[in-house]
Amino acid sequence: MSAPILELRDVVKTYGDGNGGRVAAVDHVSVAVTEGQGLGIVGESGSGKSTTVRCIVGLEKPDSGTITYDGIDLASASRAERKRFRREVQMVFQDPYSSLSPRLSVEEIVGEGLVVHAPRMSRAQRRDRCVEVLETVGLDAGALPRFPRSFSGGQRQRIAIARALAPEPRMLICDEPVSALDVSVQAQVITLLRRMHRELGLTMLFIAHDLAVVRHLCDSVLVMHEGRVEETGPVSSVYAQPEAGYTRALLDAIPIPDPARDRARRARWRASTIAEETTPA
Amino acid sequence: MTDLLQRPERLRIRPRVRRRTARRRMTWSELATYGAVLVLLVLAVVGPWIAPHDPYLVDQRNTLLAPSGEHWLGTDGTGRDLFSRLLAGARPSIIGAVVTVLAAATIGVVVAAIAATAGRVVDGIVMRICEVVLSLPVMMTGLGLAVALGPSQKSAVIALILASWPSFARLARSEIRRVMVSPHVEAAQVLGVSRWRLLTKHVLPNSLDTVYVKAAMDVGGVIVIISSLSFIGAGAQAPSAEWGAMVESGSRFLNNAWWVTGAPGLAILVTSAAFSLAGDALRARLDPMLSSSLGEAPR
Repeated sequence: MSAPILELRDVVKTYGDGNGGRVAAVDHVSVAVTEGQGLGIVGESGSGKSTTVRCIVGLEKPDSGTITYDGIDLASASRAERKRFRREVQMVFQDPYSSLSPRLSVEEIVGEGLVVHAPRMSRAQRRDRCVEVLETVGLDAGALPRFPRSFSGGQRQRIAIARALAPEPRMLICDEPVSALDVSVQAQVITLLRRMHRELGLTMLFIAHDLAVVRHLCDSVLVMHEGRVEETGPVSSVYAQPEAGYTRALLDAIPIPDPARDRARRARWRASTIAEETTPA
Repeated sequence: MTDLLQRPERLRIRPRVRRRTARRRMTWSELATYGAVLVLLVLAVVGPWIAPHDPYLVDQRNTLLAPSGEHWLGTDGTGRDLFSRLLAGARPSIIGAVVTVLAAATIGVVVAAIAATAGRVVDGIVMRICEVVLSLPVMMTGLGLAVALGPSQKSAVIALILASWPSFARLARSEIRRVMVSPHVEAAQVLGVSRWRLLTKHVLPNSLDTVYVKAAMDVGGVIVIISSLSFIGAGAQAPSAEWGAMVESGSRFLNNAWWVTGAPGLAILVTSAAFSLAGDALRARLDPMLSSSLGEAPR
């Protein structure tokens, strides 16, 4: 195990609750991610997983705690360090409809990271690189002059992934990248992300509220609940033997694509609930 | 059923398309309003050159002539050809209003961009200033400033720019703030785009639609205000063919030569209506759901 590429220590982010109090969206979260790892962050809506990630990429400022990326403390990073972080850590957002500017062509969207991080690239070189990443995600050069409105949800998410890949990042953060897509397209995008993870050796942070997706894509998993880390560990052990009751509840909520087994599981639940209710406390 | 299964592409749900401008065909009324505005703008530019008579040539023998083949709209109190004067006056009246609105919109957007990005203190100060100016009717502020600057067409334009930029600033600021937190702007931030590039390439292009519409609709109102300022003597002065000033000088002959006042008055009405309708058509085209967020035209 090498030194972690990304480390969060006691990160706290609170919001006002409208009555003068504070609500902790992220409550003393500590995580370490090693290079090349695929970490899934799961939890229900409002469990703080998106906020955690937004703190990492600097869209939110944590109240306390430190976030270190490859030896850079993000709170006190120099200009050059911040620049390197901005190039090496890229993000794919949840909704591909609103995360692509309607006024920019695909070439401008995908090339934006190159304009920023490789300003010496000529227009032609930039275009070549755009075509290259578009082909990696399963689109082609024909997409360059077109606008996001002429693409489907799945294609748009591919464009968003291409945009993230263009500056050759080391880490890719995906904030529920498939939950806005319909099921048939979800599988394609997940397969694409898995290929990127394996072939490019990208470190991946993958947020999902669907544990089945995480099992498919990640090697370790972090379960969040009400802003705190509930459980963390390799996917295999967390899924086989969940320690926290909350994790077990989440796992139980995964539908089994086999009616007979699903019925059997539901029967077991009912039996255990009745047993609990009839047992005197 | 089997038929549908064999052609799955017909079952696929069409993606929700968020198109900013609907690609529908222009209706006749839209064409008419845009056309009217275009004709008026062309007249404002070439008007003085195509005028059949010298608009400033005084002819004491032919005063207050009724409309005829020689003088299409008659002559005024000093025998000047009214039609030529209308054409000559299109430039100060229309171009004056267009310049006013363009300048006010530009200042407003720049101020809004500063307010929306520079932090809470600057934002608070700038917006309070805007509110103070907005609390006074544009006509009043314009009148006061124009008189203070010394009555002339230039003063009227400067006064109206100073009085009307805050309404643009408020509108643009709210739009900019809305777009600043949209996911595609956050995506650009994560990419490491500089603040200037973020603003000019990612935020402004997506937040100025309402400003364009307000600008187009305001031109009509500003034409009336500029003419009003001239009419009460705070704008363009006597020999000028500015329409408001023409209405004023003709009002003395209202009893025996109504056309001297009526012609420039009608020109103001038609021009103002044309620009307002064109602005409205533009609004309907850019976003059918937009109408409530436009605010009011200057009074």
